[in-house]
Amino acid sequence: MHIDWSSLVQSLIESVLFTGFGLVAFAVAFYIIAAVTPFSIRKEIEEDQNTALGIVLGSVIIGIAMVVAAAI
Amino acid sequence: MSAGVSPAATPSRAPAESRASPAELLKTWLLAGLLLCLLFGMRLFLQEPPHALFDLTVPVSVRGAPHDDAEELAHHFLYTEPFDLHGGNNIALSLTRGPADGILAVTVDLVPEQGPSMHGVELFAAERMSIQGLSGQPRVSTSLRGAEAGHYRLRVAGTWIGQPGESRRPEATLAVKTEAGSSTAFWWAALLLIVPALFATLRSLWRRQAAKAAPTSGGPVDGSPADHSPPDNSDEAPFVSAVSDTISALTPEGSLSCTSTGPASYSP
Repeated sequence: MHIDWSSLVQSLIESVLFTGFGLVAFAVAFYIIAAVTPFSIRKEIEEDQNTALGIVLGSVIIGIAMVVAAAI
Repeated sequence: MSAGVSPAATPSRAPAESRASPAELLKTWLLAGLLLCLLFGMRLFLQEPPHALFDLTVPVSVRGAPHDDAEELAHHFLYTEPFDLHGGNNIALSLTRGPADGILAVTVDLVPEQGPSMHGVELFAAERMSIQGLSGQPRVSTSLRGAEAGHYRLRVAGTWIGQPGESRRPEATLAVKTEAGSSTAFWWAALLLIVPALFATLRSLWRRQAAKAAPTSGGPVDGSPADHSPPDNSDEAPFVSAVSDTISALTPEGSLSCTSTGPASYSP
């Protein structure tokens, strides 16, 4: 059985690159959202137990992930 | 071509014609950018952000005091200034300061400017106040949920039950703000998920149509037969193609077994 190591390494490198790029893109998008939000997300969710904000923030995270995954 | 390597098992780079054109790459990223801008534009409840209304010093009556003035203060309510409340919004109440011992009950009523109905909620600050007071931030929170839109005031009164013979009257402060209700949040969540899902679907359809239209494409997607036809990269995103090409270009010459006439297989 022959193993094509070059293609294996190349696929591995690509996977790492795409994973890293996706994580960076997601982190940047989330940071921008947190920055433009006119209130403290941490305070609203952790201290004030704002359920509505938690729901919306969860959907935003999933939405960003979908866009990033589709774009790359 | 390296010996012993079957063409079908060799990843090959596609001819330039089947690659994503710069225009397609640009369109893809512009579309993704527009969608992200749309998500950012919503800005998380900008229409209904948590909005601080009042920071109140709550009038507190004392039970158990030697000269029990609870009766006197029973009707000593604090009425706030009127404010507008949007439909489905909650009023979040946080007792930000109170006694570290005893039991403090703060009653908050939402009083419409017109109409007799009112909703009441009580904040009991007992053990929780004592426990959380250890961290220096005593806090008890609750909310009036799902009130109808209208013009309201808040009626606030507090009662403290301290030690027998206690004469001091503790101070309590209450932070009041509005926030979106859960029903509103679910609508926003659905919208925020539908938009990127639509984008992903359109993006996939777009790629398939482009692959069908491309004259050099046509190899099977699964890549099973080794028919030496040009690879089908229709499911490969432009960014993936660009990175793959870059990696291939950086690979030392000869380490890739097949670079130009390879067949249809592509293993992402």
